[in-house]
Amino acid sequence: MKKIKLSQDLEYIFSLALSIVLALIIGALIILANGKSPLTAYASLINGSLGSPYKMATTLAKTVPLILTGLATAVAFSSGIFNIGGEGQLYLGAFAAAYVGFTFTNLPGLIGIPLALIFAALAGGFYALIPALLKVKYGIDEVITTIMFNSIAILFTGYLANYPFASSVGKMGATEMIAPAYKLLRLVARSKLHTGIFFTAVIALAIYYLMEKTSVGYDFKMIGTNLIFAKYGGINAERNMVIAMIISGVLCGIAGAFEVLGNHYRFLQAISPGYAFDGMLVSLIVKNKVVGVILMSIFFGILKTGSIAMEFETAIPSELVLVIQAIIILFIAGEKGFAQILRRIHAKEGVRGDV
Amino acid sequence: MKKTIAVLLILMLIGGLVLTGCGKTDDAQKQQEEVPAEPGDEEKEPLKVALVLSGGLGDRSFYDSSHEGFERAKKELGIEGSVLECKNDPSLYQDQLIQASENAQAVVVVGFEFFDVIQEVAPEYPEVNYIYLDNVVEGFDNITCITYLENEGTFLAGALAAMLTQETSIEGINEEKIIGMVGGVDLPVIRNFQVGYEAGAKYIDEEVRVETIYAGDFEDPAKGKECALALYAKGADIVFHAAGKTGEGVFEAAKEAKAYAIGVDTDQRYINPDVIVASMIKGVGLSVFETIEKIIDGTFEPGKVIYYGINEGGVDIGYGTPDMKQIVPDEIKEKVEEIKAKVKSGEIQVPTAK
Repeated sequence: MKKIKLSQDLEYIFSLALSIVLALIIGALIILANGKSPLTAYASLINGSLGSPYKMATTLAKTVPLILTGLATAVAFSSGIFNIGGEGQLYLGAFAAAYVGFTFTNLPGLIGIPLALIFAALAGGFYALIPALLKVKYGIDEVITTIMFNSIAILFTGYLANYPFASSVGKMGATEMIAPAYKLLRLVARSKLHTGIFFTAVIALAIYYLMEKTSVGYDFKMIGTNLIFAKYGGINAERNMVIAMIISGVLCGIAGAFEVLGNHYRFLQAISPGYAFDGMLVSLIVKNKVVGVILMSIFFGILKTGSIAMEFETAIPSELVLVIQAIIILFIAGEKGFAQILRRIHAKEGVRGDV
Repeated sequence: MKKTIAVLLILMLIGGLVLTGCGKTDDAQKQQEEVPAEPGDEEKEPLKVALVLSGGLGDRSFYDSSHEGFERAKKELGIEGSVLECKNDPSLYQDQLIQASENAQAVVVVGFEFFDVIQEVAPEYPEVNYIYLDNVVEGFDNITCITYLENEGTFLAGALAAMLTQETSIEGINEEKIIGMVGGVDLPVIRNFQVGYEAGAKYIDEEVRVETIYAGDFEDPAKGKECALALYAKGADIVFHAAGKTGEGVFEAAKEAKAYAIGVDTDQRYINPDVIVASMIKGVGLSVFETIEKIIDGTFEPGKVIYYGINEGGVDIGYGTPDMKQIVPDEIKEKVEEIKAKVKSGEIQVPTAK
C-alpha cells in the first residue's frame, strides 16, 4: 500500500507531462489539418532551438527574463498578493539601469554594473511597494492597481525615451547607448546570451533558499494558503505581503536591467514583448514552484526560439506555439480532473494488488 | 505508478529520437536535392532575397507595401525570397536578421527598430547586401539605407485637408477649421509625418487648427478608432493617420462619424472609398523593387543612403482608381499639384522633425 501513496508533487508532474504531450499532439493535428507534416515541423522546432551552440544560446537568452519574471510571480502569488504589474516594474527597472549606464559613463564595470542593477531593483521594488501599501492600508485591490500601474510606467518611460533622454542618433524611441563598461559580456558569438544568466542562476538559488528553507518563505506560503489561519498563528500578514511584493518588484526590475545591460544596450520604448505576462503564465503552470519556474522557462524558451526556425523552414506560423502554450494552460486548469482519473486507476490497481 | 511513468518516459524518449531522426533525413534529402541542381543549372542562379519586418504583414500599410514590392520583384525579376516577421518583438530582431543573413544574398530590412541590430549583424556577413528601410546607418560597406521624406508627402496631405475642411458644400464637412491626425506611436518617424502635415495645413490657411492624438500602438485598430472618434468629436472633419494597422480603426470611426479620413503608405482608398478621400503614398514597395532591380542588373552601389522624396517619386498623394467616386474637387487637386511642383523646385522648404 505504501507504493500507492503518491506524493502530490509526483502526481502534478505526471499530469503536467500529460498536458504537454496532449498539447503537442493537438498541435500536430492542427499542423496536419494545414496539410503539413507535424514530424518535420517539430523536428525543425527542436533543431532550431537546440541544434547548435548558437541556437542553444539563443534559447537560453530567451529564458533569462522569463525565469526572473516567473520567480517574481511565484514569490508574490504564493504569498497571496497578486502582482500583475510586473511589466511596469520591468520597464522602470530597465530605464533606471539605462539611466545609470548613460549617465555615469566613467565608472568601471565592476562598480557600474552592480550600481545599475541596484538602481533597477530599487525602481522595480519601489513601484511594487505603492500598490502593496494601498492594499494593506486601504484594502484597494492590488490586481486592479498593478494593471493600471503598468500603463503608467510604460507610457512614462516611453515619454522619457522620446523627449528628455532621446537618443541623438538613429531616429527611434530609445535612449542613448550605455557606456561600454556596462555592457554584459556575450557568451556565444552572434547570440544575445550574456553573463546575466549567471546572475539569474544565483538569484534563482537565493529565491529557492528563501521560499523553501527559511521561515520567511514559510510565512509567505502560509499566508497564501490560508490567510486567517496564518494570522491566527501569529504571522504579521500585512508586513509579509508587502515584503513579498517588494521582492517581486525587485526581480522584475532586474529582469528589465538585463534587457538593457545584456541585450539592447539602451532603453527602447517597447523593450519588453510582455515578459512579465509570459513569466506569470510560466509560474501559474508550475503552481509557483521555483524549480518548476526554471524548467518551464527553458521549455517556453525552446518553443519560442524553435517556432521561429519552424516558421522559416516549414512555413507553419510561429503562432502555433502560442496555441500549444494555451492548450497546456487549459489542461493544467483541468489538472484536478487528471489527478482524479489517476487516483481512480490507482485505486483499482491497488485493490487488485491487495487481492 | 512507477511503471506508468517509466512507460511514459520511454515513449517520450522514442518520440524524441524519431523527431530528431526525421530532422536529419530531411536535411540529407535537402542536400541531395541541392547537390545535383547546382551543376545542372546552366543559367544564372536566382538571387536569394529575404525580407525582414519589424512588425507583421496584414497592416495594409507600411509592411504590406514593402511586401508588395518584394512580390513584384519575385514575379518580374525571378528572385527567390522569404519573409521573416518579428511582430514587434524586440527579442526577435537579431534572431530573424541572422536567420535571413544565413539564407540570402540580399536582405531587405524594414523598420527603424533595427538600428542597433543591423550594425551588429552586418559586419558578420560581409558578403550579404543589406537594404535598410526607414532609418539611416552610415559607414558600412554592405548596408544601403533608403529613407523617405515623409514630411514632403504629408505636407501635401495637410494642404489637401486644410482646403477640404473649408469646402462646407460637401456633405459631412463642418464650419470649423479643424483637421485631425492619428499617429501610431510618438516616435521620430511619426513626428516627421506630423510636422509635414501641420506645415501643409498652415501653408494653406494659418487659422486651420491641427489636432493630433497618438494611439500608442501600430497594431490596434480599436485604439485608432477611439482616437479618431475623439478628434471628430472635437470638430475635426478630416483625419489623417500614420499608424499602420491601427489606422484601420480611423476609417471605421470616419464611417461612424460620417466624416472623412486620409490614408497612408499605400493608396488606401479601396478600403472604403466613401470616407477615405485620398492617401499619402510612401513608395516603400517601389523603392524595394527598384533596389532589387539594381542589384540584379549590376548598377547597385552599396553603402549609400538613398532619399525618396517627392522628386524621386517616393512620396505622393493618391486618389484611388478612376472608377471610384471622387470626393476631392478638381480645383483642390490642381492646387495640390501646384504645391507639389513648388516642393520639387525647392520653392517650398518643408520642415523636418528632430
